[in-house]
Amino acid sequence: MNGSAFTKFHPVVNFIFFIFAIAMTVVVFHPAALAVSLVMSIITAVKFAGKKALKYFFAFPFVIMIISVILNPLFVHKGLTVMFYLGEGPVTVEALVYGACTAMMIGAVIMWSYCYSQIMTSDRFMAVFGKAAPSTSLVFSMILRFLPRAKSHAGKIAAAQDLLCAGGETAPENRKSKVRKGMRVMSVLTTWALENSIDTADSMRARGYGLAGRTMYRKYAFCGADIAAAVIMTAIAVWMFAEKAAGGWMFYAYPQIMTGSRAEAGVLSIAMALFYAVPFIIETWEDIRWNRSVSKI
Amino acid sequence: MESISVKDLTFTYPGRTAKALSDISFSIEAGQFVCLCGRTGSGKSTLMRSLKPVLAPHGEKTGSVLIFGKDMDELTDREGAARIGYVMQNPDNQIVTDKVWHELAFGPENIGMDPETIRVRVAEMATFFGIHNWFERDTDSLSGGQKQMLNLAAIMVMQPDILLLDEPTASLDPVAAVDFLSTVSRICREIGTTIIICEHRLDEVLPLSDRVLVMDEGRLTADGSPAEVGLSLIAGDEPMAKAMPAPLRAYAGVSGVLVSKEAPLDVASGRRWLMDVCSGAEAKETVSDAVSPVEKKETAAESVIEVKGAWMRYERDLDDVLKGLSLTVRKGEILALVGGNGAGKSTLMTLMAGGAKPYRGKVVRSGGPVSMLTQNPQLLFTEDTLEADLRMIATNEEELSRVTDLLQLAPLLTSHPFDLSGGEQQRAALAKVLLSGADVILLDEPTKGLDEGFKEIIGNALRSFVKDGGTVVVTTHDVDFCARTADRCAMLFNGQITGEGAANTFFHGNEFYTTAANRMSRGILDALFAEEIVEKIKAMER
Repeated sequence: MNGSAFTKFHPVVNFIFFIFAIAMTVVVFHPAALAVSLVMSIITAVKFAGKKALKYFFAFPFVIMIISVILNPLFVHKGLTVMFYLGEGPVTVEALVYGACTAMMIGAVIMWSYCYSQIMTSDRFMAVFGKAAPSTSLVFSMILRFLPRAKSHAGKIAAAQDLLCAGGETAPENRKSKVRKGMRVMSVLTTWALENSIDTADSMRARGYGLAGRTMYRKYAFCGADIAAAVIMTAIAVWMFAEKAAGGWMFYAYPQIMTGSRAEAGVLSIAMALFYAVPFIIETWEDIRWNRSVSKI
Repeated sequence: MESISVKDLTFTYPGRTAKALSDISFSIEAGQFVCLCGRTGSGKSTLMRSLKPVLAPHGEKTGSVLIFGKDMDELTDREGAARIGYVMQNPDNQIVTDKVWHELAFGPENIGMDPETIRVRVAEMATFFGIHNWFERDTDSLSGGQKQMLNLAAIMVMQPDILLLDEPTASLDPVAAVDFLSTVSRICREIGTTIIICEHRLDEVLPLSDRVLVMDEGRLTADGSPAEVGLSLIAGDEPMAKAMPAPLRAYAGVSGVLVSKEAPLDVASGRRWLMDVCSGAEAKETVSDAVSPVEKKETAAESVIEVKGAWMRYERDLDDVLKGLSLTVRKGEILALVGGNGAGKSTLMTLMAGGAKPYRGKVVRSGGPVSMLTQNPQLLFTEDTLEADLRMIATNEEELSRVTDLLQLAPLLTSHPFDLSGGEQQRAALAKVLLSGADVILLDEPTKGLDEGFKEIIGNALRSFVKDGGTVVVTTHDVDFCARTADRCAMLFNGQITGEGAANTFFHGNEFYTTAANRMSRGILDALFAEEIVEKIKAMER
């Protein structure tokens, strides 16, 4: 996002944050940690992208989360605390809790990725990896640009195919014809993508991509604030991983729910929340500074 | 100083016997604006690519290409990238990065320019191209015209000596295309870059060119000033003759009788010439003659699609695209919708096809099945060969062979639809629409990026479809095509129909939105086409 305060930090700092944010969510698989991560990911996304982020959340990750919460207890019959029987299978509290945890993890990872895409534009990504792996980093950023384009192109293909035989007495769409149509769209999309990539590769080579000694237009200098942020974030993340290894974040769903002490989990959750709040705090701090400077005018 | 000099260049693609280029020789002075034209498949693209080191096609090559006196094969990769710029047809595919400023910096970064220099170059080119206003935007949020302008600017920051443009405006609308071409001309005049451009829009490019090269079947068939080459093409009745600007065609048509001035290439000089020719009292007579429009059938045929007071917008918070628009499409006519960008033409078409519903007002379809061809024909192809693709939609064998003949698709049937050129794809897509069995067909910009020959084929196909009882609605920016093909024209502006009438009278009434020949002869002869001007002058002579 343009004008975001978090982007004024060095791209390496941004990158460290997102990598740790996602890694911690997946590794420290504990209900409290997951809840903190999910809530903070949504708050941060809204801070970066506004209402659009909420719309995105309810349209995509939220649906997957609901499905996960419902499906896990229906198909996994592990766990001792039976709530009721559905046909032959017991539906257990443990499976429900585990399903909810998985749901929170998926939701948080998707929302952090969403925040990532708002902040880490291709140039910022290349500033992190450009020197070490220029081709890989560029290919990666091209894939990121390609995905939304492919999605919108698929929509256009479907619409164009519909319009070709519109207004006539077409048979009502059943599942079979829908599947067939989907396959057709996919096949066109693949060809389109291949065609495109040839042009893009030509355009890159024509402009000297791959020559030795690539330079960078935007230089990012590491300053005191960058170092401070990087150190704080890394310290918290390393602490969390160490705690996980030492059993501080203990959580087992099966056969019966088992967690470590509440007090310990509470302290750890607060530390973790502090980590996740870094971008939010930076943004809010910038807002305050701006308001103050405006009030002086 | 010669910037490019090609000597006896012959090229054959691997596995083919026919030469794609044979014995091509020419040399171009630094700072010249050269237009390379020729029919589809004449080898233009092969020649263009042969002049750019990394894009040169692989195959058997003899002869040499010298860039500022140095053999092209001896250029370093860095020189090849920086000194020769290449702009391709598709604006989207050439963009590599996600930010406008980064796209501009991409080339200089690659060739290892130091950041201070890049900053200066990017700043000055952004200003030259007027990009500074959208410098920080996402590349995906740009319009097609802006994207192509960005592609051009992204090359110009490397300060190339030579700029090669391969049909750069084929997928742009006329306004954006003219804008783009005038920028290219500015680059030539103000920066002194050598330009070689392949274009279909010869009306716009020829007046800008210093020189024209014509190719046919891999050979260079003509080389000279635009007027010279144009006149010789028209005199020889070559296939390219129809693509020449209307003023030049009119001039050539009567030049046997009256050679007075330099051959006119644009409307202004065409007008001056015509005024000279027609000065005197007898011209007045012809004016009164000309004004009586040719009678077109204006019967009250039954309506097939009726749009009644339609209001339409895409999202709640956006502005209305259609504002209480009403329009009747009558059975058996070719109705052309004209109007600027964003006037709502495509929206209206989608509405008529039933792809969207107005939130107020009604669309009544009473003329049987409707089929619509969207702007990008590529979206329609799903199979591996064109034949399989057409078979999928064709109802019977007879229909299939009739339509393939009509649109001259027979030699293309075994090709993959994506391998066809833009014009061939457009014809193939039209074939799908004709084969869909619809009684009413809606075509959105069917002539975009086509050369004159193809336009004629499409025009004929539409005529024959209407003769068999069909109805056609077509949107187009191509006024000439409209005037030749349509029975009735309707002009859209700001979401409403602002003018409507039989094609002939409709264009005679317009000042700007009319054919080049009409603009040239307005108030003098009032003709719509170059042929008409010629006829009227000849009649006057008698």
